[in-house]
Amino acid sequence: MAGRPAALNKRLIQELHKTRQEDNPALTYLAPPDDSDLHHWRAGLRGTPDSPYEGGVWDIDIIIPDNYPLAPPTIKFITKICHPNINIKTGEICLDLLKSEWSAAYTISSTMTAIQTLLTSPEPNSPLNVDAAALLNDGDTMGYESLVRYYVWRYARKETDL
Amino acid sequence: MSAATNFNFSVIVIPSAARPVAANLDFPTLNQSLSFALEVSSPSDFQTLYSQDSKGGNTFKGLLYVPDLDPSDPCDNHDLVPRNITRKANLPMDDLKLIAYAPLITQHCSRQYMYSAENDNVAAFIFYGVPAKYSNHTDPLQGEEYPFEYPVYFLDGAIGQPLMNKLSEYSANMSEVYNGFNLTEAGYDIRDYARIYTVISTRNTNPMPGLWLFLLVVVAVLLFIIGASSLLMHLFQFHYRRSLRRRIANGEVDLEGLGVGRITVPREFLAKFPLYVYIAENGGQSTPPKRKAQNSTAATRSAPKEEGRRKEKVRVPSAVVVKEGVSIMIPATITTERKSKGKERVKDKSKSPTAIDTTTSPEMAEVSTSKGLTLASPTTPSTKSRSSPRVQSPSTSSPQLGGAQTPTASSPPHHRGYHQTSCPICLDDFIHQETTVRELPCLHIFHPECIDPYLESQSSLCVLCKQSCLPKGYVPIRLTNAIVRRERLLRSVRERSREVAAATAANNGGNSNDEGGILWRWRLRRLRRQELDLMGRQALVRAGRGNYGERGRGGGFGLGPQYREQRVVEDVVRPRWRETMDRIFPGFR
Repeated sequence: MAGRPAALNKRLIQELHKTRQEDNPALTYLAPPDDSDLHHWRAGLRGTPDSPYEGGVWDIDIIIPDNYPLAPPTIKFITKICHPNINIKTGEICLDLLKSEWSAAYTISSTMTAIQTLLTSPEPNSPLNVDAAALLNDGDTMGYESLVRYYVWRYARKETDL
Repeated sequence: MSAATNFNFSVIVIPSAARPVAANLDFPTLNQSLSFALEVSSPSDFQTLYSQDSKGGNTFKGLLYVPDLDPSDPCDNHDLVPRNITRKANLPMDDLKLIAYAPLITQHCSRQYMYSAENDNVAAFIFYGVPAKYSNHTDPLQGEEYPFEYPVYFLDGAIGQPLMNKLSEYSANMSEVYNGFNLTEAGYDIRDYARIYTVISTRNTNPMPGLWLFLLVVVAVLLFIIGASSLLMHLFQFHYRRSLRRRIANGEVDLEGLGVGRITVPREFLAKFPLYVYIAENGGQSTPPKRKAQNSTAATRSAPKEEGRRKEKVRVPSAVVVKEGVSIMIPATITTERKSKGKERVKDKSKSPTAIDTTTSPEMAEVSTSKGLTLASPTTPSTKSRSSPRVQSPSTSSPQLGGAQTPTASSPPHHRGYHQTSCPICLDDFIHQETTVRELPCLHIFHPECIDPYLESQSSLCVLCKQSCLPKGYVPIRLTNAIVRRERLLRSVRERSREVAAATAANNGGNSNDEGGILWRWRLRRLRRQELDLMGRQALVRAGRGNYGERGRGGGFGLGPQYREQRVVEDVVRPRWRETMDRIFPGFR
């Protein structure tokens, strides 16, 4: 038990090192906001190109548990985002990868990529945002996309501003 | 209505000085040899003519007497009722309980007797039949509505007339009664009264018991039906569980895919996964050594060790193991004997040289064990392997040694199928000929200290490829009815989606919607409902896992029990009555 936090820190430093070496195209940045606390990271997630999310950047809060990487990190959107599987108020994400399907082989960076993929492939059958999911379920793609675009325009940071 | 079951006549002695309470007639009974006693219990000898008592089970007690009639009344037939019969005047007190007794002559006479008795403290009335020359009347209640409160019984004449005669014998004082001389001789006071005391027992002949019985039968039948169907359902569930177990054992069912609880790898299986030293592909050797039938020999040729609490098996079949600059040569002759208990023990049959070099001392080996790295170090508890140890010096443990190995001995296996250079869990690179790695059945390799806790506490799936590490056919969990149900539901959903897909394909192909429209729509709806149901439950399970994760997070690395106690969440959130129903009727939905 005693040696574990050290191993965890080692892994986190490794991950941090790797993210600095090779940039993740899905992210604008990925680092702990406070250098003294490795268990709390922040990331800026880019909207996928050619999707209604294009051009937006969302800040994401990442809390890393003590038993990481055996347990998944707790990931939340800080910036408001409209997506069927993301709670519009809390930013909570419904993604099996972050729950039952978590694997220790995932890194924070790869998890971020997975979340970016979730943006373009929503699963309206297990929604956290019922309105968006209802639009999708009814086949109103146009309405859904304009809703998403509105939220991107209204709340997300713009990539062009960076 | 309660019917008489028993008439008991006996003679009691009432002391002349006694002043008993009316109901309390517990006076001594006269010895039968000196007096008279009669018991009538044969149902053919009497009948109950009238009874207001609804409960039954009562007994009517009293002194037997013949009610007074007007002396001019023609009913007062002295052929039938002797002159010296016990009348009310012959009884010691006025307020004693009485039982009236009279012959059944005519309807008029029985009326007269009964009206007369009504003025007395009568508990019951007994009529008896008389010979046909006096009357052929049998029913005193004939005609009018019966206005009296006491029950009326009828006694057969063959018993009734002798009783009447006996009654006449016990009407006077002690010296004049039957056998009176002997009684007074025996010490009874001459002023005492010897009288016939009657007890009439009744039983319940109410129609009510029939109703109760009917209800009882209904309840019993219901209970039987419930029990039988419960038993049947339990049998079915048992059958389903067994067939699911069989299918899991055959590898037809993917347990992880069922989403039931968390399946982990028990330590004894974990210990069987091979553990060896990592050798980089471009390491010291020109050609990567081929692994020789590792799995088949695993059971017999592996050398398991128990190192302290961490029981890990070290597979070093005639391998060069490099550890902390110390190489230990262990010959291929190490065999494992599996005891019947399942405990593993190392037995070095050949006692061939497993040696420690003089340059490297046991402390070196201790270093390796204290670092938590697991290897067949010479200081492991196995005393036999320690008996003649020989360890190569660090200089000779260089790659040349590996190359110098005899071709017959298989060299340590490494990344047979995949080219892993680092542990996916801690992201550390494996160090050539130094790092001990554990190989899972899918051939992925990890640091044992990284992968073991994961498999033990988190999942039975490989971190990289999600292939199950459990041996095929191993059923790691208790199969509950909920799991059986979930599996059936999942299967039926899959089957139906196939059917539906086929049907929609057929529809698109040609003749569309109208044929079988209703049936298909119904089926699709049902499928959709089931899917939603299933997804809801899976979401619940997921949520449950999330919560458990939250809890586990607080306690550092101690995520053992919370995860293990996790069952199908659906069972937890159900109300108690549902649980009870499920226990009685398993699989009823």
